[in-house]
Amino acid sequence: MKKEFLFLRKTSGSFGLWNLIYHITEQGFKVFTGAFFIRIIMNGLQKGTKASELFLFLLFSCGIYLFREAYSALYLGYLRPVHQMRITARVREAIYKRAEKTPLEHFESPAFYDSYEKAVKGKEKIVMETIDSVSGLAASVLGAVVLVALFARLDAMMMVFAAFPVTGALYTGKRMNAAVYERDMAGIESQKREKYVARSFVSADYALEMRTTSMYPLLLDYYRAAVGKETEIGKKYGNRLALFAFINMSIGFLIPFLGSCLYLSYRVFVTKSLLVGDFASLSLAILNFAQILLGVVYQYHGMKRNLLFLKNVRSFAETEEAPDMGREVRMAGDSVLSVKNLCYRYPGSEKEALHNISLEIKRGEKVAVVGYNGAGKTTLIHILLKVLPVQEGQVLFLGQDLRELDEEPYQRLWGVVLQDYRLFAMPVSDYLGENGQGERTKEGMSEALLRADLMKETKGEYDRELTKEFAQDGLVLSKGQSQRLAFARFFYRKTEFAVLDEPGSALDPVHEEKLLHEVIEKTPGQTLLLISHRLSCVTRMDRICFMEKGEITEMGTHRELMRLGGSYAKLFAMQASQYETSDERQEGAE
Amino acid sequence: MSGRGEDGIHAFQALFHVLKSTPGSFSVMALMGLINGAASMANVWAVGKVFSLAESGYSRELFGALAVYGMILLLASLYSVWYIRYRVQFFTILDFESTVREKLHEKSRRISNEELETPRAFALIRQADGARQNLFRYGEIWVSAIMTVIQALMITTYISGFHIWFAVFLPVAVIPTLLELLYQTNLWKKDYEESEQCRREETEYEKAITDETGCKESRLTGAGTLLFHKWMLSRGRRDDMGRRKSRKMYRLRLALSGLECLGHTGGFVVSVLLYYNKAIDLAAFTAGVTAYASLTGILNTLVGTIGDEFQFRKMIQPYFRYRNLPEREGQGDRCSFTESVVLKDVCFTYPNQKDKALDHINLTVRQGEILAVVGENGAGKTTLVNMILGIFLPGSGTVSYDGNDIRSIREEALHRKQSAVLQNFVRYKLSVRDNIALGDASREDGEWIDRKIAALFPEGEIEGDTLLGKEFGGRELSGGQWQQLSCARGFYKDSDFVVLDEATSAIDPFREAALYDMFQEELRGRTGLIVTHRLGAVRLADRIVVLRGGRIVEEGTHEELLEQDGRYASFWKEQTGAYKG
Repeated sequence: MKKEFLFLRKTSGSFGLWNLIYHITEQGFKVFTGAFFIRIIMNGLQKGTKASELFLFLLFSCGIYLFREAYSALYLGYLRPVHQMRITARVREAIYKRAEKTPLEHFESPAFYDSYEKAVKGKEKIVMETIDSVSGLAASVLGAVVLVALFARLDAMMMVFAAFPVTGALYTGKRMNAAVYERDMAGIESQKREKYVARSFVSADYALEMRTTSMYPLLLDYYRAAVGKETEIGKKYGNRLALFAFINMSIGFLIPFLGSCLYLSYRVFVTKSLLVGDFASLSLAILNFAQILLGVVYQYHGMKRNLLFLKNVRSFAETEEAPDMGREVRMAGDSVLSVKNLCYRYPGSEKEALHNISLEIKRGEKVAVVGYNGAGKTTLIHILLKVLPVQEGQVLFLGQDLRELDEEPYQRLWGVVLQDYRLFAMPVSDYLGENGQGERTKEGMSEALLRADLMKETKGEYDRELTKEFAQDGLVLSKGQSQRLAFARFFYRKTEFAVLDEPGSALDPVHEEKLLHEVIEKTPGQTLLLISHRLSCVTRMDRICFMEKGEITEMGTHRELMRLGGSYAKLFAMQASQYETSDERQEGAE
Repeated sequence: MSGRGEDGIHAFQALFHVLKSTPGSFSVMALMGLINGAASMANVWAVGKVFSLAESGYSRELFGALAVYGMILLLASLYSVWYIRYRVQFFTILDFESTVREKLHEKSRRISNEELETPRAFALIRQADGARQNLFRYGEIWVSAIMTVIQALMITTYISGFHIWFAVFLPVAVIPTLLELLYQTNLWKKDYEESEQCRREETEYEKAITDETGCKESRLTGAGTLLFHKWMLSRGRRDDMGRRKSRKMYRLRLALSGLECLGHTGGFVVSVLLYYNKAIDLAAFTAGVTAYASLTGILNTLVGTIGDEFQFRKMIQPYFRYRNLPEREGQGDRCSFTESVVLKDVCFTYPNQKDKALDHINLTVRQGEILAVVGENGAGKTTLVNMILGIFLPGSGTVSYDGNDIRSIREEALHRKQSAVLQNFVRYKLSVRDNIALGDASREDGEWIDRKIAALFPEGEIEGDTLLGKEFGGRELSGGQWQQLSCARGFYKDSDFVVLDEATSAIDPFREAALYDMFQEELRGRTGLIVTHRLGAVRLADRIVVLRGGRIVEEGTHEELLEQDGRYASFWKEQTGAYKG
């Protein structure tokens, strides 16, 4: 609890104070109007007080009213919106900074991912909401206390009536909130399902498939099922909640209010033992009191819930990550990567994804990694790039243990073209980013785009925005062209070390050949790790590693492996056979 | 942007829409609103009645009046009970929202697909989907506004009965509030458009920073800091705008509250004077004051409601804009495909693009033949496929199935005959079996599916019931595995025409070979269209077509094209070169 309040203080600054003043002013004004203003005026009129005295009081009340209006205008019109923006920005910043610093490895752990989701997805308003609930509650309690004092002073019998809302709040209010909580929990699964299916309906990715298959009615069934489940839950709890609400209403409002009206009328009109002003003021007071108490339980539970959400956000934002080692990466040495007995198992999986991998890559070497789907190629690359942690075994980069290197400076040394790449809606120049020296040069960009054969499409307009998301004349690229753009970025950065993971999957043969030629032959001195299915690309690499079920089973040059006649040779022959003409096949058969 | 007139139509359209879609809930809501409003009026009436009766000392009627008042309060409290039952948090008129959502999707299927290809269109769909939440609320706002106005009029009429001065002062005291309303609405209008752009930019950056794929991508390529910086800039811009607007609003409110205060004080002073001059009695005074207090409260609510009305009206616009998008023609419900698909002189340009995507295409696909389409990136292969499938309509020229122009056939009818394995295949976060079954809702062949699953996952650690997708605690598959599922899905459908668009791009050579065998088997007796870079797949085809710059530049069998020694031949040499020698 204490940490949460500290976090609130840090992100909201002085807003908490303004907010509290606002709530107290609002509540106080209500109490003032009902308990004092009406009472004094009406009693005065009934008793026949001098007009001048009443007018003086009116003036005084006017002043109070003006103060309240002025503060309300200031708060609602200026203080709140401005602070709101500042606070949400601060919270988001804290979350994003944290997200940025999180080593990519952590995303693999389901526990982390869960807490990440809870903190990140749409919770930036939580600080405002928490402050509102705390202040609101404080003001309500204060108001209730003042009203009880009024009852005690004017008519002790009213305390009896006041007891009803209090009982109501304590009894039904608590049960109602428990029921609401239960209902929320029960519906989480089906809500998630409903949201997922609903999202698919409006997602660009699903659109084409939806049109050409009969997917729509099936998805609709899923959707209806999820909605049906939610409605069922709603009905089950809804009736219970309605009953509680009605009881709460009756005990907390109807009975005390009507009861006290009857009682007070009796006193004013029958026994004539009460002034009209007191009647008006007391009936307004009990009304106010009932309203406050009806709301207090809800406010209280709301506050608790907000504090819980806040805890998620705070604990995420303030997680202590291991501080940066701060060590510079030493760039000397000939052995770029030295992998010994590397093993890896994905969390929650029984089988090992990588088993006893040992590999040496020298500076300037061009190494290919090939194998079937699921052999572990991408897993290996991810570990080498520090996207996944080194669970077991050892990986040395230029003689330094990978575990002891800071993620950011290490990753900056590597140029990558990966399988899942994304285009962001930003200008081409921003997408290309900064080159190896941390600068941006037009010549560098032109050269990179030329090498990736994108000059025609981009027409040298580096400020042109990608995608039509924000710009009417945005550049829309096909899948292949996007992949070439990823290559352009790779060329632009001119790093000494490179990783390419299935870089030609969307490219036509001509472009694939051209780009790989650029990468393999036209970049001497660059250490390259290439994953590919297309064995035609790897024949000219310095070394080929064949992976199968998480292990490296064969390693050598293309010639050596062909002579070995093992899995690689078989795979190569299989691919080659697809390109044989029928004549050649016949020849082979003969 | 939409003018006043257009918005006006939508207000009624919206209300009528809500009423039609959920007459039950709407009526209940309206009724409750009525009752709730009546409570306020009853309040004023009760006070007046009580005091005037008290003066005349008639106590039985007094308690009768109190009883009536109590009844009304009771009914009004039912309003809040209903509110809790239906509206709080989670379940906001769920069946209404889901009905509306289904309507939206019905519409999606009828809109021209070329429009839908643009990101703008998808933004509109998303906005329309978001807007549906606000439709019911919009109905509520109007009911509330109407009730409020009725209340205000009734209260004013009632108390002007006591003395004419009341009728005079009330409007005067109300004017400042109305002024504030007008100015606020105006400001909000301007602010909305400006900040909308900023908001969308921010969301895009946020996605890139926090989304898991985005995170990896931006970190590994060093884009992370840049994106964060951009987000901060966008944020800063929006903050500045917000601050400016707030300053204006604050100054306005201050000025107006001064006026309001004057109005209130004036009114009160007049009432007190009237009492002292015995023009009104205590009952009238009390009733007048109560009424005035109620009225002020009501008017403040009204101000807020009208402000809301404007906001919500703007928010629900995308929904109606979407529903009013032009639909595709084509009424014919039957599509026959026994002979051929003929493309004659077809030209096509994407909306908002200058260059032609397809340029004078003439092509015939005969029933039972397998055609391969090859070409560079951006040559128009996928566009051609979409054209043949009838997803796009030609800008000029004709596409006909068995002589029937596809413009006259309903798109659904066309698609019933087709199945496609697409480049951008979908990964359904459902069970493995469902991923395949989704290919054809009308076919129930569990055995076929189980066989395919066994073939795809021979090690057995993935079965038909395995849930996929990290989001739901399921398994994650590799890119190639997902694509294999997508192939199975495409073939599951019992269609006449199968399209394979880069169906094996992520699959390893070994399994690719197995898939080609499956293709050959499954394509027997059907018409096939294969789009590919990998010329190894081409041997499945009877005929090959080479596209370049949206035109067909070569056409023929594999042998014929090799002999021609043109583009195809050079592709072939390029790809096979490495395998020989």
